[in-house]
Amino acid sequence: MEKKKKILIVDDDVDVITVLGSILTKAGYDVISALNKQEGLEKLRAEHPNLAILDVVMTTHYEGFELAQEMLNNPEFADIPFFIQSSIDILVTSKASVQEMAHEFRKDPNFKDLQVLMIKNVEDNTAGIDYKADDGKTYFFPVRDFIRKPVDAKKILPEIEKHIR
Amino acid sequence: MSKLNLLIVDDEPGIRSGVERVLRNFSVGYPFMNEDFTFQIIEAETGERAIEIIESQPIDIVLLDNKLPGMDGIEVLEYIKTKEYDISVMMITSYASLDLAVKATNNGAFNFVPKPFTPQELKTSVENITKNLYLRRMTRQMKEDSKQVRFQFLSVLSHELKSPLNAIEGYLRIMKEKQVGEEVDDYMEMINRSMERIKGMRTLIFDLLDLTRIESGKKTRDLRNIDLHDVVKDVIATVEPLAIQRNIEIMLDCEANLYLNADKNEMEIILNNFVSNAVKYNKEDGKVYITILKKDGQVVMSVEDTGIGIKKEDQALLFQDFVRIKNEKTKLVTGSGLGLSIAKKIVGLYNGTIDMESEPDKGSKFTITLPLSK
Ligand SMILES: Nc1ncnc2c1ncn2[C@@H]1O[C@H](COP(=O)(O)OP(=O)(O)OP(=O)(O)O)[C@@H](O)[C@H]1O
Repeated sequence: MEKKKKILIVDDDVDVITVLGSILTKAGYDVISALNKQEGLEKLRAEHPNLAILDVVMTTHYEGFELAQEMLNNPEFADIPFFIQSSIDILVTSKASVQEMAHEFRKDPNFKDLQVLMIKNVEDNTAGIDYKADDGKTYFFPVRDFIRKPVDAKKILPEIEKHIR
Repeated sequence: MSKLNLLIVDDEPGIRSGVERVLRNFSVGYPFMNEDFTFQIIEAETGERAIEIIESQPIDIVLLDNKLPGMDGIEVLEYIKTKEYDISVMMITSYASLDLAVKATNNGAFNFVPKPFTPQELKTSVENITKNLYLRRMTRQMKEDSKQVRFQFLSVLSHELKSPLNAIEGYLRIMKEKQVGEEVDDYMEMINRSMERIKGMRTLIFDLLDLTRIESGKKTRDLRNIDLHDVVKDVIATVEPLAIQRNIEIMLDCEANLYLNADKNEMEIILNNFVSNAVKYNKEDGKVYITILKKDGQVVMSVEDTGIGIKKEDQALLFQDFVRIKNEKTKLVTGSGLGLSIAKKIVGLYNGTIDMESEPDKGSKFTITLPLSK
């Protein structure tokens, strides 16, 4: 029998873990979880999952983004795809790269003051996050996909299929 | 010491160099300003040149002659106004006609210096305009800061309100699709968690009301001599049911008739927060020690527990709005994360202090010290 694929959920809300966990378990995945960035890093290291799903606001405001960036910058985790799960609205575009679009949105008076921009290109399915951290700087990093809260099994399962390693 | 860029616009070289000379070593300082200001003088001989300069570098103050060879001073002033530059303008004019004065003030000129002026007149005018500029910038900064704080509070609050809704909605979807079984009993755990989250939302709403009442100063405070022994007895009675469930023993060391001039409701909020935390974040069969005593003109109340403790790096965060420490040990405990910040604000009203000692897995001790008023 094929070995089950492993998914790590990092979220400070146990109930989100329970709900998402039961959906994923039922769909045949092996689910592990962590409640903060620190535990998340430990689980990534120990279990090397096939995919990670990260919440944004945990004990600190951008904990999920910090974890995402550590995953991107650390060669140890570079091959683990991750999704960002949040209830922030997603901006969609069909032109240019998402990073260039982030720059465009930052010039637009309607968006320039937003703390976080989540941008998805609907043509080529690339996605990225541009956020103003507490130090006042803006950061950009690419992500595989966004997942909207509350969890919806019908939407999340096909996305996972597409990206899981 | 910080430098303001002052642009002098005049077609007479003599006036420009005169201004330069007078202001070169001049500085403006007031007791209410944090710093002294000196001036970097930049010169322009025409209005057109002045605009070029304003476009290319930050300018704080403009001394502006009205009668210029090309475009006149009023036009430069209009330009500054339409472009909404943060610049204070002072008109220099030899014939301060009423007409010009009205027009210039309508366009936001700060005031006039009549030509010819003495060095002292120039200094006085520059002093006034600097003070005005400083105050205007300070006020704007303060408004922006408070807007920022409010915005941050609301964005965290909306997150706190959405989380339980997301959790409950998630559970309901699972139940609707009968994902884990056919019987209601298969979902009992999810139902209990949903109810727990609803309870959490209710706490949040009540805490929020407390917080806004304290912060707006609207809460009518009823200061009178109250017996802390009575208050703490009531608080223990409220927390007791939870303590019994977890077999936690609460021990009180407080003499009867320990009076303090305070608002009873506020003392209840403070003690309730610390005592309920000491139970919530305790271990099964743990202990809570409450000590209240008078010492050196102060009331010292301490609440100590044998619970999970708090890591050093987390300790600094605790008293902020909505902060909750999430880890394996706290994951099932619900709360608003406002309790300690409310307690801190109330203790502040009494000019008191809160100290904390804590060691992970050993326990925590919070000590509240309130000065006795006369
Ligand atoms: N005695 C304690 N031992 C260990 N951790 C504590 C203790 N008291 C507070 N904490 C930690 O500090 C955090 C903030 O406490 P606070 O009282 O502000 O909020 P809360 O308990 O989450 O909610 P509520 O306001 O409803 O009591 C808690 O989430 C908990 O992690």
